[in-house]
Amino acid sequence: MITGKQKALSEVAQMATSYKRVLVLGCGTCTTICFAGGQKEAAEMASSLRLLGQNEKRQQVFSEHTVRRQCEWEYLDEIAPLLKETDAIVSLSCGVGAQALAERFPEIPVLPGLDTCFMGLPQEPGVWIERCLACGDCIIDTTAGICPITRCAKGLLNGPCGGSVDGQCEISADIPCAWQLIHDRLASQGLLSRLDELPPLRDWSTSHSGGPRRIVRQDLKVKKAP
Amino acid sequence: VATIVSTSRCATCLTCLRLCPYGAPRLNNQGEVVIAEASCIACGLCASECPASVIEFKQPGPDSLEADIQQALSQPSDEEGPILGLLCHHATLASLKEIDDRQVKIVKIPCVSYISVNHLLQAFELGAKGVFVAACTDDGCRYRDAVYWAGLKVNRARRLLGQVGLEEWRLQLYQLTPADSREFYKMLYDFGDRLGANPVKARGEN
Repeated sequence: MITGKQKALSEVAQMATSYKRVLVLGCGTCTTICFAGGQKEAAEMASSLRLLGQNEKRQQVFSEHTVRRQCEWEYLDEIAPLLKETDAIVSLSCGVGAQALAERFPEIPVLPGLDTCFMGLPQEPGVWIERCLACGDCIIDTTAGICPITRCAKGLLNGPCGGSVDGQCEISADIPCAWQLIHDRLASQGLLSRLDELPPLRDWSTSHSGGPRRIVRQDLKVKKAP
Repeated sequence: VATIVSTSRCATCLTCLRLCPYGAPRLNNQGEVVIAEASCIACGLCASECPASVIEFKQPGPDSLEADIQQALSQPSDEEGPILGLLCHHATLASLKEIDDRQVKIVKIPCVSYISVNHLLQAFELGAKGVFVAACTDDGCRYRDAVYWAGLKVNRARRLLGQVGLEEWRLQLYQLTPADSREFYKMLYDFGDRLGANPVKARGEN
């Protein structure tokens, strides 16, 4: 899933300060399940902004609504009637949803209510960890199901480096060395000899360095009338 | 008793499955969350923690608490705003007749698990000048984990109150021994004093 963290209330209030009617828009998918921008968080933020406004005697109106996914045009269209009475939207979706919103309703300023963090998983309730950088060329078949590009701080393809101490990465005692993990799991699978193989030079053009990426599937395109 | 999940709106975050102290939510063969009635004692914890609010009670449950708070705070009260008390049914046996209902509005709930952060913020928005949550003691609580979760929610709401410029102490979580009425009234006096309210009728008339 995509994870995010709500911005500080003061930052959101500052962004919204010049708008009279502000809609806090939650997203019912990724940011709901990471507890950053679902309907409850949208209600919490709108409520907090109203309380702050009362306290600072501001003449602003904050309302809230949540759509199923902000990264789908059809789900965004349902808010069109609300926008007649909206001067700005605080989006509680990831950057994808927030940008979709801004593209669908270009006349309305969109303000990010949260920071999109990473693609990861809940390690336990309340703890999310990063697992994939979307490099576009997955190699975890050779690394025991562990992505060194994401989980090694240096993104090394030939680790571990000298910063690996007692199985931990030198950047933090909380972060295991990805290459130690790879080594240990390959050993437990009896596949340690995999590390003797020389991988071919990596083609990084599939990653973000080539600019924004896109996927085009001709077999899925809906035929539209000209 | 028991709860159901509205599967069409469920975001399948699996929170209920992970936090239920009774193991009542399970995954069916379609990967949907279902709540096993036989295991569910309707403590309300999953419903108040569900980020998509899709867990429904078969009898009035946490989803009616918002309306109860609205109702309580819409009654005539002192100019400066009343105190709202969210009181677990089991937390005290004290009579509430002495409470000055212009100063203190009490909403009784079957368990503090019913509460969510939004209820607490809502109370301040509706004009409460202070809110207390009265729970059982850890040993006295008849449900599992309820007080722990209530503490987390109260702390989160307090942080938010701080961010909007309200003093965090205006929201309190108390744990009470049911048989000790003096304890309940002492809590009420102390909180009322701090907020500048006369929580008890007899005192107000003096």
